[in-house]
Amino acid sequence: MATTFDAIVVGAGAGGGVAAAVLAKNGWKVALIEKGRNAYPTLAEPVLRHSLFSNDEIKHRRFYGFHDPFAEPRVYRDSETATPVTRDLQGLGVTVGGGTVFYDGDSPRVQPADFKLLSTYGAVAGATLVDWPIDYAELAPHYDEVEKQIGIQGLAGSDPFAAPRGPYPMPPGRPPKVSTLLAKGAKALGLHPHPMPMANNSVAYGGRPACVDCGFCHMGCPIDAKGSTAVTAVRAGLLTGNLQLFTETCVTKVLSNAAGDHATGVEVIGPDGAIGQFFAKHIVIGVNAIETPRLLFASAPVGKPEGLANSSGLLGRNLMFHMVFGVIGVFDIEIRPYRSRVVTHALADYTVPDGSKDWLRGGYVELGGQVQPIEYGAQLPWPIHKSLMVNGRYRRKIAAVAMMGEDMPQLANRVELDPKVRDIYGRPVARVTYTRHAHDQAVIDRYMPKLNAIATAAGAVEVMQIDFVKQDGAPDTKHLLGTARMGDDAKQSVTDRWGRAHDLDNLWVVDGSVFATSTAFNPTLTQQALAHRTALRMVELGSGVP
Amino acid sequence: MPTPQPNVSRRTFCGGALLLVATPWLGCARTAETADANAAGADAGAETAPGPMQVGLWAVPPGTALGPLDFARLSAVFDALIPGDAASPGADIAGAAWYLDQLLGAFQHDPPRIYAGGPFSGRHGGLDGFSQFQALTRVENLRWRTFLEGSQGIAEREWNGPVVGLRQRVLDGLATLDKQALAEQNLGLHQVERQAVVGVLSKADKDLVQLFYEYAVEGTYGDPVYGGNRNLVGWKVMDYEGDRQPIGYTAQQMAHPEEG
Repeated sequence: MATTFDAIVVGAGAGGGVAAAVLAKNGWKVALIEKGRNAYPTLAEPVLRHSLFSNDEIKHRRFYGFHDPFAEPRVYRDSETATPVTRDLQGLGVTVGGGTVFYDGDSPRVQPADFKLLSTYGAVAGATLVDWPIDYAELAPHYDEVEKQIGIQGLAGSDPFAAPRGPYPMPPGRPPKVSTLLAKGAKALGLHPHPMPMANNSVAYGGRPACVDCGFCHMGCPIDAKGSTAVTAVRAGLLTGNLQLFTETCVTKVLSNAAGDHATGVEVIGPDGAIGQFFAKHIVIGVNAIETPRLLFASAPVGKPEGLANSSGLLGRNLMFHMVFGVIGVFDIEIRPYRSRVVTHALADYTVPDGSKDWLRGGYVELGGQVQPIEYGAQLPWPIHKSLMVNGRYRRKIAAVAMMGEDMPQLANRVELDPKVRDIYGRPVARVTYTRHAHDQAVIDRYMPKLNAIATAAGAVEVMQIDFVKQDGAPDTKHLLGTARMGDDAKQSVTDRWGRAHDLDNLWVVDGSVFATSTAFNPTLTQQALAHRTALRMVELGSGVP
Repeated sequence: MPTPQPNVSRRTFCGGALLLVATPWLGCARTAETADANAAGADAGAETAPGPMQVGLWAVPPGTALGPLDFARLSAVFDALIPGDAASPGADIAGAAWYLDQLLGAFQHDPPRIYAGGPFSGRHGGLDGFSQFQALTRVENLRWRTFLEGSQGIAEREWNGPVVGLRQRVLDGLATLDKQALAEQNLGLHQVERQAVVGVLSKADKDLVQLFYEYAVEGTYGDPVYGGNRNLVGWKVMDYEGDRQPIGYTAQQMAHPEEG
């Protein structure tokens, strides 16, 4: 088995999978290293058959293919002075396909203004708001490419706030009661609901079947109708013969020269527990905005205790989680929101500023959502559990409206290595410090009533407010952004406009870490487009050492 | 191989007992034995009786990982947390205690019964892949052994220090609750009626109750392949369809859920 490659890609998730496929398609010999298992037995075979994921809530609760807080806890505190707590925090998929195995599949593009928040709307006190070094036009062709590869359903022209674009690869899928009801309410308020762009097949596409709307998107798609990067990009890369997939292999360190300006490979713990090394001309990190800085801190060269790629001192800082908040409307009619892919409609009306000086704008709004019975039941107070489960009022007759609010970047929101707590591999775990900015709370205060109005206009007889950032005492939004932000100034950013570390000539980052601001939209498609762009840049520069 | 499931619950058992009063071990009569005496009797019964046995008010299937007495105590706790009767089944009829017992005994099987297979249950077409439990990776094996069995002084399991395993936590928790029941009722947890167990739980440590509550919920509403939700009663009682692959829902079922 070759252990020297043109490129090593760490993490087979949203960004890593896409980047690995681009490189492999262009003739690079690529090692794709994934810590988790491969639940797709036929991933590299000519005909793709079903996965080992299933409509099984117990398996998901036991962290099958998912970040496991018992094996890999994280430490959280909501300020520099707060007592750190070891806990579950912002877990994502740990398997081939990463978070895209378990996400809703929501795949909106961001708006042109998302890349230029500072110059468009001005500074926000206490926030490190910046313009991205790239603009929408630069990313648009990469959106086009990944939409084709992943397989996105949607209706071009249905969102009046979106940038002009061509047709989606697939038409929108079947609408469930929950979203049509909410969309009707939104329309009555003069808003512009539209089919959510989604990575779920509405028709057979890419050798994969149409979605049957089983309602278990969060537990992995058994029939591969959801376009996770596993069954799209990674599979495409494997079929080139240039991509080798190493699963159950944990990268513990990026190896570099003494100066720390050139990466040489990675150190791993293999499936059998043995320590090994891989070497390559380029190293690509595609993990997430918590794990990427964690890995780079752990890779500090001798004499550089600040970590690899951290001459700016900004590695791990400007962590963003998105402000996800919303309402749950309770209706007098049967809705059964679980009879559907998770979210099928959305609206972007609140991504446009409304003139207030207290906040810039709101965010993209999802119409719909669902909860499975154990997740729901376990949250109920036990003395009234049975009656609420049987009654079904708060399970079968509900419809959720949620906003993806802009999360102001702040220097104090950061990832570090915890000095005490270890994971099952013996590595220091990530310590996360995160505090909400006053702007973010202002947005919630402003827009929560508007979300409430949508549910009410749809016919809700009772409305409950939810704030996912504060729920259970810590953020749980699944959108991990920042911590290796891109920029042209090496003193003000960690990576350049291509996602390459300013400090190293051959270390690239292709996950949500490079986001300069959080944007007001679900981030996965943008992350994939950025990874596509980064990988093509690598190809353009050639596979030799730059 | 399908997961063996006990086919006797307290309620169905007691109903059947009305017709089978001549069978001594099927009686539902409360006894006044002490916990220790029950434990001794239960252990003796386990050695001689091949079928379900009576421990206090509870029918206990053979071959439990917890042992008969603690299984009966666990049944009492779960029944109080998610109560039910024949018309509206709860944790007892769902077999939630068997669910947790199966988890605690997961490593008595090869592969361990942690992750069911996929992609389909076979209930809606396709083959039953669920019952083909998946082999664990090295890290998963270490994780689950540590979680269930505790670190037991094994260095490899102490990546963050000593760990008390779930089995011990459950046993300790049951002992604590049983002690309270004895103090209040002069009877063990498995010997008192539901309302008395509710009373004990109401005064117990919240974290302890939460530990049992989450497993009661999982055992009542999880997939039956893990031992609970017997005959899908947990899903039926809440009018929930459960797993739906490979058929999913039709456009009509999505658009008009009021039609059933």
